[in-house]
Amino acid sequence: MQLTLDNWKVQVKKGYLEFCLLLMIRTHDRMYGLEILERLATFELPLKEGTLYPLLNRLTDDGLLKASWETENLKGHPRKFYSLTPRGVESLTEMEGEFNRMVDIVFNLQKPKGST
Amino acid sequence: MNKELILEHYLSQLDRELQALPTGQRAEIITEIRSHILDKSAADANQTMQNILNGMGSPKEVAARYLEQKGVKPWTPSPARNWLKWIAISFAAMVAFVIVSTIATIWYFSPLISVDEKAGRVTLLGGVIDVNEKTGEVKVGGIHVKEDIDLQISSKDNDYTFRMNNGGANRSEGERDLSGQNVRLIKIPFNTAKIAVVVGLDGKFKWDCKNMGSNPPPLTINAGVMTFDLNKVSMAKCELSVPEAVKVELKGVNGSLSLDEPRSDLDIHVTNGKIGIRPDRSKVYDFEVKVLNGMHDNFDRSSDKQALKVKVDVVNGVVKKE
Repeated sequence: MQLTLDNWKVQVKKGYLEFCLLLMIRTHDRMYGLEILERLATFELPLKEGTLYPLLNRLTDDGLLKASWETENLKGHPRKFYSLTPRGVESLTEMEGEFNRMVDIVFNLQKPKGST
Repeated sequence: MNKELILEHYLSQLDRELQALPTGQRAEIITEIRSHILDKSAADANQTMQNILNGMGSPKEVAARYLEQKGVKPWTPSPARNWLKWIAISFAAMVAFVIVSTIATIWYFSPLISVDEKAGRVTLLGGVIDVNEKTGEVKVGGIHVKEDIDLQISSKDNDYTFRMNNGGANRSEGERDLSGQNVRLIKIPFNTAKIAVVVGLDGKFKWDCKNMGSNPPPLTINAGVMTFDLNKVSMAKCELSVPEAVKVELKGVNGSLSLDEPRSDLDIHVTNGKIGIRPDRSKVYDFEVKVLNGMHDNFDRSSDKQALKVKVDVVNGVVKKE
């Protein structure tokens, strides 16, 4: 049973994590990898860096994110900052609509029989 | 192993696992992962580098996620690549074998060409080919060639070249009595020849030449000038006897000339060649020798009006006193 639940979580999380990632970047305008990981952890959305970076890479390839190398101070090493592209903003808005609709469906399905 | 070495080792493994991606993309990924690890290391000094890397996952796992996200299959050496590898190795081995064999051959036969001008001998490949000008013998491996061999040695900036030629056939021998013909100059133009000139006391011009073909002797007399024209005879080898007191002019390119005890004025112009002159000790000469690109022995000058005038003008060559 536990194994089946884990599989289900993995399936659900796939799109969910990507959605949450884009939402967070939109909120902060621009973020780098470690910062994203730390913020996700506070929301109890732990993600391994070995998973995050390939995902960021793919979202950049898809044109939803753009990346730029910046050095915050002279002593620091360069960091790769991510922000949403106009296409990313547009896609995220559509995702929000779709997700809200799905939540509504789930919410309605969860209602006891005869409560509508 | 220190932190940097552990990190670089990890990143080089990751780079290898990402080989299916273009170089630019790999470099971008490696730079970002390095930046992330350095960030984590700086954020928590108590963390060991190995712990941080363990948190990342193995290079193979991380690379697999990148490739999965990009829809690229992991790189594995294909059988075709293996074939190419073995073909390349075989080719490299062949090239190495040829180079080593060549070096060994050169070393074994060294020196490749040896010229002993005094002995009139040229040996090639450590004696595999042996040409002896004096005896006219040629040895090629174990085979002796005893035909008459013509050998020419010319010099240019001390760099010797030689050529062999079978001159046994097509011999031309004859004489022309110049007594009473009022000949005051003998002209001998040539183009690639070996000419030996001696002085005869019988008033005759004599020739004994090889390589003359079936043509009649190229001898003409006109207005006191006798011309023995070797210009159109390729690689002539002549022994000439000239009357005393008649000026001789030798002019040409590629020549090996020897003049034995001249008793008349001489005018010699040679481009590429070797000239040997053996003066008559009983005569007084006024030598005027000029050599451009080459060398010459010391020849005496004289202001004596009775002195025989010997003018030698050589471009690329040697003038020797014999």
